Amino acid sequence: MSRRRKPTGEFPGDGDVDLNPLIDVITMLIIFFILGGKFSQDVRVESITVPPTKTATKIEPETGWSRIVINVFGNTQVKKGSALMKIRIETKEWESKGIDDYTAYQKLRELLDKSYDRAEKFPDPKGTGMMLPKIVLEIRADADTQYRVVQEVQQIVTDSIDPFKNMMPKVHAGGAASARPFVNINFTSRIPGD
Amino acid sequence: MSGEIDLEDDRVNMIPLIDCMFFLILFFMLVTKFTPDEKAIASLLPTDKGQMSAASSAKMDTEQVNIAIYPAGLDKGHQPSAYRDFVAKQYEDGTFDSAANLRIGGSPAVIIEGDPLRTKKVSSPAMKQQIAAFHQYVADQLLSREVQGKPRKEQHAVIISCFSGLSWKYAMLAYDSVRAYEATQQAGKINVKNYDLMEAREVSFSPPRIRNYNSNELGNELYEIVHLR
Repeated sequence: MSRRRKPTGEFPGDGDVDLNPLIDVITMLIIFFILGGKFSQDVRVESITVPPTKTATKIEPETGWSRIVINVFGNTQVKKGSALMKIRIETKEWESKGIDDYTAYQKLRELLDKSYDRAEKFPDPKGTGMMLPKIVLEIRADADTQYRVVQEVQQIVTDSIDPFKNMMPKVHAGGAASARPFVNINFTSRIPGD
Repeated sequence: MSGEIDLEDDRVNMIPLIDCMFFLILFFMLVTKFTPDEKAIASLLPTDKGQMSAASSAKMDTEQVNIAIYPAGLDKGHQPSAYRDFVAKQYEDGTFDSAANLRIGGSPAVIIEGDPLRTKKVSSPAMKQQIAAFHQYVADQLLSREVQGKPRKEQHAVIISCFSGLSWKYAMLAYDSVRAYEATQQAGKINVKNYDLMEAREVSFSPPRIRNYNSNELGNELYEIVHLR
């Protein structure tokens, strides 16, 4: 009788119920939620909803190739003249505050130039004389990005447009071999029902 | 008596521990997002065509298949200024980009609604239905334009021309449809590696025709796209 004390009002939940299993279950749940959320290797931006397609597949870069993900944000419904656009690569983010603001494209091209120079290259199999890098670019654009923005990014990436000269066609002084194009492009999308 | 007191002093109060645990669970339940892996469509941009040089190309090559994408509600036979006004009105009442016409060559257009394609829901029947409808349309059209006896990469190139102000999802739907058709022609093989695309039919996006949203240029671009053959 002296061992079994009746529960008093001060500890209402702590009666003669054994709480250890409850704590074990809760610990299991916590571990589940910690591990269940995916921590992907790249810095994925959650606020991009990519467009749906049916032929998208999981693409792993080949051996010897690397991958750069270009996140493109942008809104179609903005009023004309205030076309906001944002590009993010890993932790670097650049914004265009208007349709004639090319700083985002310039920074993108600078980063691509550096990556091109560092990468291993191979000659274009189509015989144009261009040297193509072993880098796959993934253009991860929100479904509502303006088509214009995505295409301009594509043109910057293929080095056919010069963002430092008002987006005029790029003149390659040394001919095709002096261009720094990226032609292996993946477009991120999701499969409906995934 | 002292035995009872010892028992009480040794007992650890478990309730705060459980409270902390519940707090942590709640935190992780709210913060964790179970997002599926994102997939991608591989593409190889053409290096030996006009894509790599001039900003805009208005070549109407009869040897190519054009897919035109423009806002729904536009039809042929109007002046550029009429198209410009139509779109300006849509910008004002916020209905711009809500639906688009996608059309191959000379056949009648298919209307695609924008909202099902941009829903953040993992999937919706409306989205699947839109995608299926357009896939079917493109497959039928491309089949009727198939050049018999030639390998995939010698089929007519497909150029997707989308109005600059429309959103990316329509153009991706068109691209996806062509790829899906090509997969059926190649016995179900979907190109996943970039070098496989050397043997694939050429599918590319036409560059935007205008750079500034000068209102006249908008109308001109729409006129050109609506009248693409």
